Amino acid sequence: MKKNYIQSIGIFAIALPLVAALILTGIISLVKGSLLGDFAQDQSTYQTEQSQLVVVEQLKKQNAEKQQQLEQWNQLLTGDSFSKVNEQLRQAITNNNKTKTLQLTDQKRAASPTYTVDAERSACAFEVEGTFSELQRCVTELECTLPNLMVNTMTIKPQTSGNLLNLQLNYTIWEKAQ
Amino acid sequence: MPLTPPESLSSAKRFSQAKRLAKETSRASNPNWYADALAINLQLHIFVGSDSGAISYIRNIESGAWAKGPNISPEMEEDPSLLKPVLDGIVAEHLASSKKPGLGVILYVADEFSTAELGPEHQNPAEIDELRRLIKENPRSILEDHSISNESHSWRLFPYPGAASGQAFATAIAFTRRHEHLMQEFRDYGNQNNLPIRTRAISAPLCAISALPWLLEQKPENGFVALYHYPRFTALSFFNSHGDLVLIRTLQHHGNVPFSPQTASAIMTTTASLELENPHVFIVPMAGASPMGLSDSLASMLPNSQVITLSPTSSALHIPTAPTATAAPSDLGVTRPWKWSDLTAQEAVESEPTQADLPTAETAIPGVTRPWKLKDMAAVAMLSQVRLEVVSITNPPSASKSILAESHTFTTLVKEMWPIQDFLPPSAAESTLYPQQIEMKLLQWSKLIKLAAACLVLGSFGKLAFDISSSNSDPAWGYESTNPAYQIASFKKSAREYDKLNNLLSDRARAWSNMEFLNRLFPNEKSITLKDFSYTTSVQDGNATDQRVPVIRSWTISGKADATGRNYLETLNSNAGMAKVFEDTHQGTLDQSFDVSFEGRNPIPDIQIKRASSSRQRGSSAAPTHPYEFKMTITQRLDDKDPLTLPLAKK
Repeated sequence: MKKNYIQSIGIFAIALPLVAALILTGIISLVKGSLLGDFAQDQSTYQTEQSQLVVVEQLKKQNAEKQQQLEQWNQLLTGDSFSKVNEQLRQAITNNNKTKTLQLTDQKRAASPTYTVDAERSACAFEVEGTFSELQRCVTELECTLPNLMVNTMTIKPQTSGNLLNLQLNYTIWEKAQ
Repeated sequence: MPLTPPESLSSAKRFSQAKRLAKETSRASNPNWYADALAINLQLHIFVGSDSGAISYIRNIESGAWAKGPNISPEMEEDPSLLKPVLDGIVAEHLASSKKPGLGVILYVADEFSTAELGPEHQNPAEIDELRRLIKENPRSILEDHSISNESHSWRLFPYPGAASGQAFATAIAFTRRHEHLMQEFRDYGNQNNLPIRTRAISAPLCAISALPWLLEQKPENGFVALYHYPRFTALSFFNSHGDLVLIRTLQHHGNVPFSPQTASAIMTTTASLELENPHVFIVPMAGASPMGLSDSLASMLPNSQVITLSPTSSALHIPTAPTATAAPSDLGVTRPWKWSDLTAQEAVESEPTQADLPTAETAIPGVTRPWKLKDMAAVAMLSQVRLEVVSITNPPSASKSILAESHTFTTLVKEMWPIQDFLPPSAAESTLYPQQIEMKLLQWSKLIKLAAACLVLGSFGKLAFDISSSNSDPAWGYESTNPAYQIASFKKSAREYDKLNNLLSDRARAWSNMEFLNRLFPNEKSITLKDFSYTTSVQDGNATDQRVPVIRSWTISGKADATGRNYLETLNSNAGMAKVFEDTHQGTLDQSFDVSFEGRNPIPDIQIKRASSSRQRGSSAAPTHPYEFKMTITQRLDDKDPLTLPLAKK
């Protein structure tokens, strides 16, 4: 038997409420998206950054301890390194020359080492004469003041005449890129 | 409730009309609106046999009770106002307390019965379904007699299951439309009073034919003729030797004669044409007693046939009690079509009820002057109170347990419900005015869909409110990044710079610690005299592994020694001996490059000692104090995982 009402019932009683509900749900979803924005992403960022902030605090403490040292080193490694070495060497000779025999006999810039190490560098060479103990105290003071010196070659020989020793030193001077 | 045909309404107005029907009537909740009249619990069976009116019975399926119904006068058919108090009385007496009331009205018409032959071009039994449709819509198109009217009569097909090839396989039954208005009045009353009234108008002779198994326990071998005598006509049904129906004929009673004088000759000619030899003739008097002379007339004209008069109200009628209530089968609340075969007969009653069993309660139904109620259908039948047709409709032939009921004819009639065809169904306009049951159910279910949709919207809104509320209280709400990752990167960069400078500035090759090493290597100045000391740092960038460049430190010391010095030098010429001096130097200077506890840093000494050439030349008179010359070479590697290796330059 012909069903005269089924189409209108289907449209008005079933399809229309469902479509209306879907539209309203869609609008609510849009409103939600508009109001909450990227809250889910914010939450994720917040949680990530909270754990990162804990790490930051730890790193900050560690960095505070190292920062002073790093500043000193940066100061040490910047500027004209040869002049600094020359100056400190002369100072060390002056400070450790009780017998008045300690003296700088030669000084020069040396050829920069060619090895492929990840650090800026230059080189210097000098020659000092004096007694063993005065020479040792002199280089101790020099190397304590300038820890960026690494010995490339070092030679100690007694002088052919006299009791003094000749100390020849060739240093790599670690520097910082300007 | 004024209704507009849905075809003329817009979609929205149709929906509005359906909603109004669902709201203001019980169509959505009461399945009786869509049930078959014979499946509704309360039924009004009306038998129309003459112009003097109709007798009726009220049947209650659940209780199995039958009661005398009101007399339906011919005036009632014309004037609905006369029918209204009768139906009001039935409702008040039988349906007042019913939760889902409903009334099935079954009209048996016996005041007229005629048949017509199908046209010669419509004699194919395979087309029966199509013919069944056509005879309802346009009977002239398939009947031999094109003068018949579809206005005054309704037509239905009735099959001859026993018809042989070449014989008519079905006939057309005419049914007067005189009672169509009565059926309409019943349905209108129902619609006006929100009471489901379903109607079914059936042909009484067809019911009587289907009731034959109740009258005959055995099947005559030569075939038989069942003669149903009604006041205005006689219906002849011819059965072959298998007990299958092969033909129906009618003989009208013209004038005031009690039966047609052509009855015997009609039987003779028909049985001859059907090749039925000496068939039994059963007279079934459907109008009270058998008319005087009929039996004798037949016996004299058919001397070789047995003529037997059956009594449809005698105690020989093996009719069981009322059938059990038919559970209305449904699918998701939608009523399935009712089947005659759904009826299940109960046990037969052996004893005959007495008059004392008859209750005499008053009745609210006008016209019922001597009310009676019986719960036993057999008893009712035996008391001649209920017509055979009514009994047969409410008890399908298969319940009779007669051999005849098992024949092809009666199984087909029951299965396809031919005897109970509705000749006066509601018109198409009336039927399409109201929504179908599935449509009302859909309207009902749509409330759940609306509820679900509302829940979806409210749920979404609630979720939005909850999300906004919980988000506002969340510390992440409005959080502005402090970019700790950048700070971490900055700190890490600073840490890497620190580590790099710390590595570069480590005590890898110091002059002062080398001089201290020299001092500790030769603590006794007297036994050894040094001539030369040289130290070299070799950066092995060609052997870098894991981005680290190994460093090789080497010392070359030469000098002279006496015997004590030589012995001392020999103690140094071993890894352990030299390592001890390195460790001693490390303890004194804290220069980590001398820390040999680190794996791979062990110094490897090589000391060459020989007698000095000058001492051999000068002879023994002036023996030198240091007769031995030595050359000491020491090598130390800082590689692999050694922290004193240098970083390889990035390419």
